[in-house]
Amino acid sequence: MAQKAVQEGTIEVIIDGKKQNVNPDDMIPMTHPNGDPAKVPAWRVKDLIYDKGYKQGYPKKTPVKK
Amino acid sequence: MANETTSTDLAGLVDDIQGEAIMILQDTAGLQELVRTVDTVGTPGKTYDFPIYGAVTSADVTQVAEGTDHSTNKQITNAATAATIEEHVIMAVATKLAVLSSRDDVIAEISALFASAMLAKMEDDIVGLAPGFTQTVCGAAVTMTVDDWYDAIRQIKAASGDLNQLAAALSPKSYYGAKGLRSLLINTTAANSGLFAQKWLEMGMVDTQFGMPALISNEIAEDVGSSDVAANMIWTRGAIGLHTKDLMDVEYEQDASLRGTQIVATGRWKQIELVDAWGVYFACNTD
Repeated sequence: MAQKAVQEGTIEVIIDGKKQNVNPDDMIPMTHPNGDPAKVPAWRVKDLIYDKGYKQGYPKKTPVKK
Repeated sequence: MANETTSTDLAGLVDDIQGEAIMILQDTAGLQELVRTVDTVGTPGKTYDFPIYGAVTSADVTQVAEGTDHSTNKQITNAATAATIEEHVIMAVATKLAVLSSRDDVIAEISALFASAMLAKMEDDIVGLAPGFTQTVCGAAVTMTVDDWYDAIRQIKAASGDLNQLAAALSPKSYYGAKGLRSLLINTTAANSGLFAQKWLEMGMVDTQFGMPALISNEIAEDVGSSDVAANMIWTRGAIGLHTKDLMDVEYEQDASLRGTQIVATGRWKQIELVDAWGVYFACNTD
């Protein structure tokens, strides 16, 4: 991941409760609808939240290894 | 005895021998071949629409009696998913003195390094779509099982995905690791009770598992949520679209006042999820 996508401007996302401007291809911690942790590119964050029910940030409860 | 004349004493006469430079080219799994790829070089426009028909199922077909006028239309829909090209850039400046002083063709070798990195970045973008699939198997804290693989296939089959074009992208630990696929197939008695099968796997003579190629990508994150969760995926070709516009080039420009050559590699692509139900997010514990 040495290179970054070159696009007009950056994307505002919330990381650890704070608004931050990041590159569109920066990977953002999220929680999958099934409760698993997921890292998704910043450009998808909004769609995944509104269209698929993802939540920002990693799940608060740490899964127990099996 | 003392005062021997050693090679250290004659340092001015003893040169270092320069070896051939090693290039660490980025290893890629070749995922471009396993997604729906379109190149639009020469065609005006930077956005490509991937058209997708709405499903027409057996439930839409009605048995009617002879002579009966069938009056119910099935409305056919077609939605497009747009993929707008994005540019990806990496650049360097090699000074003229560096180029003239070097034994090797520095600019050509930098170009090769850049091209390799660019392909790795494209793969990184494709595997970055994995966590966006709504369907899942296994889980962040769970070790993969044979059932997880068949469950993923089942979900794609249920969505009428083409099982002949399945593929899996796994992180290195998810394949080679103690909790990875290879270990699973060799150690699971139920899946592999015969010594011949085990030997074949051990010798690397099996290219496909569960009817699909399992590709190992260094770009798949293995630190999702905690330090040992990998974000793998299983999908069929139509799940992911890749729009390229003359995928990549490397340009050079002289900068006279800087006395150097600017080397700029540009990649042009956009990866996009086309059919959510044709892919499965396969997060699993790797350690």
